[in-house]
Amino acid sequence: MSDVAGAAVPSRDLCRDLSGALFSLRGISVLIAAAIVLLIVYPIGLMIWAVFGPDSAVHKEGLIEALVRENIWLVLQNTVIVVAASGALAMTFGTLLAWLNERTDAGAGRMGEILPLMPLLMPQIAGVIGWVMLLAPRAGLLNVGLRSLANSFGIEITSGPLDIYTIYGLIAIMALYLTPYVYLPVSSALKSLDPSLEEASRMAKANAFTTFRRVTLPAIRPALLAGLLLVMMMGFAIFSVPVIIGSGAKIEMLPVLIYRLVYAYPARVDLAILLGLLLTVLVQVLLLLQTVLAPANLSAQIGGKAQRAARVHLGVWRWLARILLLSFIVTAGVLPLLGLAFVSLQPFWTPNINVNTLGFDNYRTIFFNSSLAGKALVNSVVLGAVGGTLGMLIAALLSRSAQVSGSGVNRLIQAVTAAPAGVPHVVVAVGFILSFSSGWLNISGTWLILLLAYLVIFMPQAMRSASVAVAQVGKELTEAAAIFKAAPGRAFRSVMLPLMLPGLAAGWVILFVQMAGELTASALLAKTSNPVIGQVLLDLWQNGSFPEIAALALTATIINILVVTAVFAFVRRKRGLQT
Amino acid sequence: MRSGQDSYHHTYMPMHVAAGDGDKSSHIRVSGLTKRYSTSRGQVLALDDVSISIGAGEKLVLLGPSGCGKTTLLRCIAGLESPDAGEIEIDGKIVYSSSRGIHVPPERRGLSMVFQSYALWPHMTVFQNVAYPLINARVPKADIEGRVMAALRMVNCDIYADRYPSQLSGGQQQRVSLARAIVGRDETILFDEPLSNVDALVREQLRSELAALQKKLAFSTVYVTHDQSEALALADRIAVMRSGKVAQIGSVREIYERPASLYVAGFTGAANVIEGRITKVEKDVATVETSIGLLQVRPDGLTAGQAISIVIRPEHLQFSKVRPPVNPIQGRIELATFLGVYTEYTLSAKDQLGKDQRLVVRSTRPDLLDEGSDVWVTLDARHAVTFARDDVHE
Repeated sequence: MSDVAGAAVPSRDLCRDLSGALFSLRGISVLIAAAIVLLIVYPIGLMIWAVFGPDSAVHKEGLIEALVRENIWLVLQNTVIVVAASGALAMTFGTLLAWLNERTDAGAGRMGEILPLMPLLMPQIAGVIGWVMLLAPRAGLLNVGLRSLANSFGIEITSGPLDIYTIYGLIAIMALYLTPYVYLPVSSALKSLDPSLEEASRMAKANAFTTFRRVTLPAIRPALLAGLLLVMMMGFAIFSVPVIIGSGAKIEMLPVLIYRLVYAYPARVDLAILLGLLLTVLVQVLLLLQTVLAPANLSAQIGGKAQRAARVHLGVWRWLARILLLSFIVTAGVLPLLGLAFVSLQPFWTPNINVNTLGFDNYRTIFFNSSLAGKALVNSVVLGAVGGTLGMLIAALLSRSAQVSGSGVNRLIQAVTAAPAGVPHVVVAVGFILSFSSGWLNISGTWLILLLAYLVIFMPQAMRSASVAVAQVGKELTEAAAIFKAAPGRAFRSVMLPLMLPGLAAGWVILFVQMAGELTASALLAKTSNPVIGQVLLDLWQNGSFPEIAALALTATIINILVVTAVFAFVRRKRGLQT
Repeated sequence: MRSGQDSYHHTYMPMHVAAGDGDKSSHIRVSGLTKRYSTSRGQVLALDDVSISIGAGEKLVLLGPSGCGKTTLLRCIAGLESPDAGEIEIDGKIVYSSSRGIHVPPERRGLSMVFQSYALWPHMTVFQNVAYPLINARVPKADIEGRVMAALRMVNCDIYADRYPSQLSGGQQQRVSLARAIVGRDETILFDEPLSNVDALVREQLRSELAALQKKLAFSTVYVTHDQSEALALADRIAVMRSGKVAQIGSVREIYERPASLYVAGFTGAANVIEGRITKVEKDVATVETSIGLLQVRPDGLTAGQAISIVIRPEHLQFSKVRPPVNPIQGRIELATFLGVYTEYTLSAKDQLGKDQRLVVRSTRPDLLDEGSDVWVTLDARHAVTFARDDVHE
């Protein structure tokens, strides 16, 4: 499939080869890869230069002092404790849920597909706000319910009994959003693990538990390790939970400190940069550990064929297990949605629910009276759609050329596109502020800076989906296209692309949802001239107009649900046709 | 290639080959082809200096066990694999040359191929699949439908034109993929174990249809298989491959009757090997002393005192009610397996050293001999092949 031909080929072919080389898959791929490298290396280089360069405003003694003044040790301590505790919880629950769904009779088909998608359906900040609306100590709806239940037993409480603004609340909600990062690799490892291995263990007289311990767990150890490292990386990078719940509980974590340093007055961008680099180093170390310890090709497992496994019969425990699975779906998706829905219908957030005052005034406000909220909705949806489409196209091209190129090019593309995974979103944002806010590169306050940031941030995610889509197209199918006289470009258009379409569409949905709900980078890069949902929600939260927040968050969630449902229906129809 | 074979091929020249091409002795010429793979366990030589030529309209079968390099050779000819050294010439045009830096991509080699996994595109209908090569070759739109339907009729699949591949059985899918391969009227069609994915009954049927189609359209064929009966049924010539080398290339009869090595004999179904030493060489016959007695074989090229292996096919050992006058072997039937057309017997022949010499005998005799009974068999010297044991490379 090489584009290189020799001198003996007639000259017409030679011309074709020359133009082919320029516009070839590889040519375009190299350009795109270079652009990605530039968008990562340039901002981070500038950051390093700003901190350690000769013009650095940071003087070493002053720096340490300044960091200590910002309670750096406490912040680090908080961060480590919260990440460790929530990570451990997520590991336990993620693995348990995956095993229950894939290998026991508690698993109920579609539930397993929906489960990891639940947290995706709402913009993360919307979900977190939903939980606050349920569990805030005084006005939280669940607390109101629990109190009235207690009152009916004659117990008088005025606040609580649950309080989300504590370290326990912070850890619990963090764990909730980290669980899918364990569930996904573990369940796909279980899916692709040949069930006959476990069946052979059962035939060798081992019971279900021994089989799980001696056969299943060792076999999926790479996936567990991948999940663990992913959880730690995400734990250090997640912004919405610490900024909403952590700030309320007066527990500051590293990403929030970086954000505050940029946003507070007087701004300490130099300190933010320094901490950003620290966070990057931390995550890079984890990423390095992952590539060393865990096998590189998790995506191949996701593409693996689903086989029917002999399921463990749980007996009476089956219903308990099913309730556990269901309760994750409820807690991750349904409950915060209900919280948002209730508050969005009230004139102001109050524990005393008066049916007569419920109405849609807040929706009217955000759609017609508040230009910022309306603009943010439009901007986010457009950015999600454009960014998702561009991202998947780029990723499809890169994965395809990685597949057909030699192992060297392949590895280079993999490395370049995986790199942003090791740069926390808040750091990308700080780097972009530094790079694109002045001079001829000034695109600050435009949709372009957001689009570029989103593309860089979500490129690893796009590549994961695209490489699965590419791998799903059998090698012989593309070889057959070449044999039957299709030039590489035509083979890509007429065979690769249509066959990859379902996989690309699934990847597009994930990109759309994440980009449209992005908060971490947007909080720093979006302004009143380019508002997006995540940033507007955060701003409104800090100003305390809760019913409007709820209305906006719910609207964004409904848009997400509609888009996800529509695209998955399309994917299922396409797949149904071909199999 | 011998000149006698050339004239044979001329009668089967494809209709569409331009006049003047006919005097070429070979249509595809592969020379000095070498291909290395690097695996985790080091380098593997998949093709080791392979040279081979295929005449126009000729049917060449590459036969060998998995890993012998036959598929790699086919894929190199197709252009799907890039060799490390050597040269490939198709129809007078060099499509690969390591020394001249030529690598023509598959779409410009003028070949078509039938894949092991059918490789029908699941998002196209049967019609669209078969039309694809014509569209790529810029055949006028008006001609496409007629040619596609004609090709589909040839494989009895015209009624499935509007279906998707997933709605067809494995055998039907392979028929469609055959139609796709013939529709472009390429001079050469490559087959990569095309029948190994369909079940036994369909396989035999497809095999004979394929042979008929080849006779009718007279395209050159390079056919990869590990199944010797498939090779015998479809080939003009067979190249038996082993560890990246051509162990022997020759007509079907040559390979079958005069295998060049024990390996080739074994791979084409000669199951019985009797070791011995030549005691006497006369004009018409050589006498061999073996552990199961004195046997007489053809004397060609043998000298007294030589250690040899006698190779004989199961169907060339014959039962005898009484002690046969020539090459008598006495044995006891250990296992009788009725296989429909014939019965396969495993004999344990008498051995002076008390060691078992096992022999497999195939007989079409209707009466089944009992397991455990003592029998006489005779070895037909005309069909016995001998190899000097120094030649045995293991």
